[in-house]
Amino acid sequence: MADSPASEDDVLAIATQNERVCPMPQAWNRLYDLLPGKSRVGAGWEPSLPLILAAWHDSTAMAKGVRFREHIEWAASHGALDEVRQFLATLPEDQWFHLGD
Amino acid sequence: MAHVRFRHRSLGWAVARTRFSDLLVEQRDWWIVLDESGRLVEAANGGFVSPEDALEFAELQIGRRFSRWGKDQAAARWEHFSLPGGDDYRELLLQLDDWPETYRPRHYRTRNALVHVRTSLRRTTDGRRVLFLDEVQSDWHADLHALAKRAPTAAAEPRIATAPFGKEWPLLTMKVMLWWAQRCGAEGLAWSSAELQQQRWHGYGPPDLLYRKMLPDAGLALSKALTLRLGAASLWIRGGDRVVERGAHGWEVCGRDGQKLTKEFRNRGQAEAFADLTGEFIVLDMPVLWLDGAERLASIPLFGSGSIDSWAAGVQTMTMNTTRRNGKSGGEQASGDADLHATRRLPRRGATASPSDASNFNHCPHHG
Repeated sequence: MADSPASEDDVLAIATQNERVCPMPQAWNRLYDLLPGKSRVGAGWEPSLPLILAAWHDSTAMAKGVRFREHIEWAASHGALDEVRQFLATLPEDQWFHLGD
Repeated sequence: MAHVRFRHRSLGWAVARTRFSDLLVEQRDWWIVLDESGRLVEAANGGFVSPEDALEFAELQIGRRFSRWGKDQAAARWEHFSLPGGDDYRELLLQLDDWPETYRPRHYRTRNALVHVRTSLRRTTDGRRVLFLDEVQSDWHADLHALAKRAPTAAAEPRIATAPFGKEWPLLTMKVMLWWAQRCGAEGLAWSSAELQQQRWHGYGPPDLLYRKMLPDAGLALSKALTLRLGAASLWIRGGDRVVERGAHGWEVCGRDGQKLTKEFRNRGQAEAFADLTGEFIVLDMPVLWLDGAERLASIPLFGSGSIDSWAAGVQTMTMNTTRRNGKSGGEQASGDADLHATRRLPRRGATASPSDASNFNHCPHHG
């Protein structure tokens, strides 16, 4: 099972179990590093940066979740889903931000 | 024969001067890198013509081999989240080491980091050099603010340590950064605008209040206290069509879509210089506090903006300790109410740091 190619649904299942919203900032940054094909657009990036650093405290859980999902979709469309799944599947629970945290 | 001239303070790696010769060439002052066992670390051309290149190569290889070492140390790690280009990117942490409670920030592993600031040195369109604050943030106060905003619930909320400088931390940060700007030899202290933050985070930036009011207000207070000129600076910023990334064996310059434009450069400075030469630049206007004519800032008033006298000699002052990534103390005092910790990326060639200053290597005196 673990060796079969990851699907977007597999990764989303990992990403949402236990009321997970997104990885904590340092882990989310590492996940973002795994995404291929990033490019600067103006002062930002494509795909959009994780909502960490200055954006962490003033973005809602829903906004974080939406941004995280964008990253999973980007991984799916750029052939990086296996790496992302492996990363998320081994991320300890305390490295996740949960609803209500 | 090779003479070890620099040795890593903890890993035992060395940078040695040697002489290279074959049938055609004799190269004196040829620099090589040796690992902890004294084995040659293979480089693209066998060696380097300058110690700076060898040291940078050694740092790069150490970073690769021991990527998991030092995870508990603060390290410059958020550079992607800043404007491209610029010199001497650093992440500075203002730490309250002596505070009786403990707070662990979300973005760093440093206990009781009150504020983090991400900085670089940049040029204005008229050639002046300013210290630019890409981001100023207090995880600690943000967490306390979020906790205070929450409606009381039956469930026990995790307690967050109380923190000082509740409304003053932006001013405190600006005071420390002004001192740091002067220490870096910058002609002014510039900081990010609210618009830049909004653009960077695609609509989810920090509270407008910080960049539209608190930092400008702090700048205004400091300009009055120290009779400094507050204005706007037009900064040259390299566009997104050139990105410098660390590659497998050196530094890559990539285009907008991530495609490599050249083979890898041996050091970052060369890659940045190529990116600067071939990339497009845009001009961004940022607020700035010019340091023209300012006396040397010897101390910082802990609260408020103080008077000129209180910056020259301490009545109510804080002392600072700047700890660089190599653990060397570059500060004025050993301890104090607040410590400033800095981590930095590898310097660009031609930056002001000396080889031994820029790395984890100690200089080994040469005898004979």
